[in-house]
Amino acid sequence: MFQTRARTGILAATGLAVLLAGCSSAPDLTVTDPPPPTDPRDRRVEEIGSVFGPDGLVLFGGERAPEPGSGIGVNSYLWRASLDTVAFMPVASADPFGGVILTDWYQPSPASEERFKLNIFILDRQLRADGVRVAVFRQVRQRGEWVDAEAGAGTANTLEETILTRARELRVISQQQ
Amino acid sequence: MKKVLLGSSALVAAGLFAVPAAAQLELTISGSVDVNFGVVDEDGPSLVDAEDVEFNRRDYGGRTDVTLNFNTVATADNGLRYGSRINIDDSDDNVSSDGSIDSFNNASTFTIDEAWLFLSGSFGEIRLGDKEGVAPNFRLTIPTVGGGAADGDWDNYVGVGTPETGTGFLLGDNDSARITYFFEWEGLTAGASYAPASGDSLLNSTAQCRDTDVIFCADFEDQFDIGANYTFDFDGGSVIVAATYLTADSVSAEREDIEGVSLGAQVAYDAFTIGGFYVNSFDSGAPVDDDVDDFQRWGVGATYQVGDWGFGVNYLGSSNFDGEDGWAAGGGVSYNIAPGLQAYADLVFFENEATAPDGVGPRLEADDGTVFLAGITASF
Repeated sequence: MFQTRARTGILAATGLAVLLAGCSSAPDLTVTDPPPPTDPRDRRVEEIGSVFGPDGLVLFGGERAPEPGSGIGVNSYLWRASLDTVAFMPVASADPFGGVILTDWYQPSPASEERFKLNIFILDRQLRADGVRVAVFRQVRQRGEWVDAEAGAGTANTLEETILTRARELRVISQQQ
Repeated sequence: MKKVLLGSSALVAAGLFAVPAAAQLELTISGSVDVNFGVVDEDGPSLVDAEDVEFNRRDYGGRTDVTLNFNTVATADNGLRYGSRINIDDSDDNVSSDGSIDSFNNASTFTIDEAWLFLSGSFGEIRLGDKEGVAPNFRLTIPTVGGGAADGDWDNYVGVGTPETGTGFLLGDNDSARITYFFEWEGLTAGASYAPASGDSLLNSTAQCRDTDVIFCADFEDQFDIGANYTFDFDGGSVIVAATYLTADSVSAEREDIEGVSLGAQVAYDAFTIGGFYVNSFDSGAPVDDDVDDFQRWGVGATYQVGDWGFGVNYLGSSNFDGEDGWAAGGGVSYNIAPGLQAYADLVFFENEATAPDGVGPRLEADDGTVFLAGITASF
């Protein structure tokens, strides 16, 4: 008898859930964190992680698939576009796998009273508008000493847009070849 | 300009997707190879005041376990996520084909353990195929590290007197063809599932047997599961509680219907996690003419993670239809050597109360012993 009642309750609960889900004003019930596998061994695979990263070995498809011809850890077009954009500056460090380019201080002319330094971070394998971040550092000379000063408003944004434009050009060129 | 670029990038992305449909599907392979070696010091069950039963078996050995998962996932233009999972395991090498215990029969026969597909969206998620129901899936057990200590592989090194500890339901944990629906909402995950039979076919349900006991098997049908867990965070930690229930009809009129309930909770704070659970399978599958006790399992555990090291202690207890108690308690340590590579070691003590069959004859003394095992897992 108890089982019959329980079964009726289960069916009612299931029906209610389905009705709620089908209702146009229903809340968002998207499952973002499904229960872990029941098998302890499968759970351990999730806990230990994978030598191929959290998703395991991706054979095809997916955002982790690198761009064709890319031998680096980040988007190759963004990487090359970043190097092109800062080609006039001395590069202190460039890590193609981490996607980090650090320039040295650049002084437009020996007589210039200001100098600049850039940190460029490429954040994605995909060619995306938010896939690159630029940090601009500026110093001015005061009484023979270099002191920190604020970079011009929008300088970093302009540089990001320049890099993205160049990346897009490189991609178009690549597709035409 | 950025907006223009954003638009351009979207066009580029659209161009990327304008390739054959197969390229939109993501296929991943994951799995693990786990190897451990262990030694056991075990006193077999014996008659009162009699010599211990001699077992013609080894007191040390090794074990290998392999699991392989093929996962596909894709997103349709309307936002529907769909995909499948195929889980391949080497079969349980603890039970020979004739049902006898053979802890060191390491012949590996690969079988498809789970095979199911899913449809997911703002309505929640629907799963169809060979998979356990939400009662075992949503069930909370105990936190563990490495090999799992009392919730690990130690019982593969033990002989006849293995206590019936564990974290699962006595019956109903099986992967059957079923339909499952569940959803997330404000920290609550809840769902229900239905399986027509305990096997894949309505006409030929597969008998599900109690662990390592071929005498105790039961066909059952029309299994319903419900389950829910709720998570809430507090400053520096989180709490998760879960409750699940399952019920099914026994095909045989000589066996009781299947029923089970589980309750569990875990608290994580800083690097510590503690948790406990209780599972009652009532008289699931027992002969209807027998007046039996409820089959119950319970356990508590705690873990501490510091860097690549993990430490855990836990305890599992059980009480079977005959009222016989069993327990296993242990501790374990794990070390992450590299991403996807973990070494571990477990020390487990156990005891299994035993009585003569059907209460006839002198009572047997308990079987007890100690298992030490060490192993390594590579996951990919």
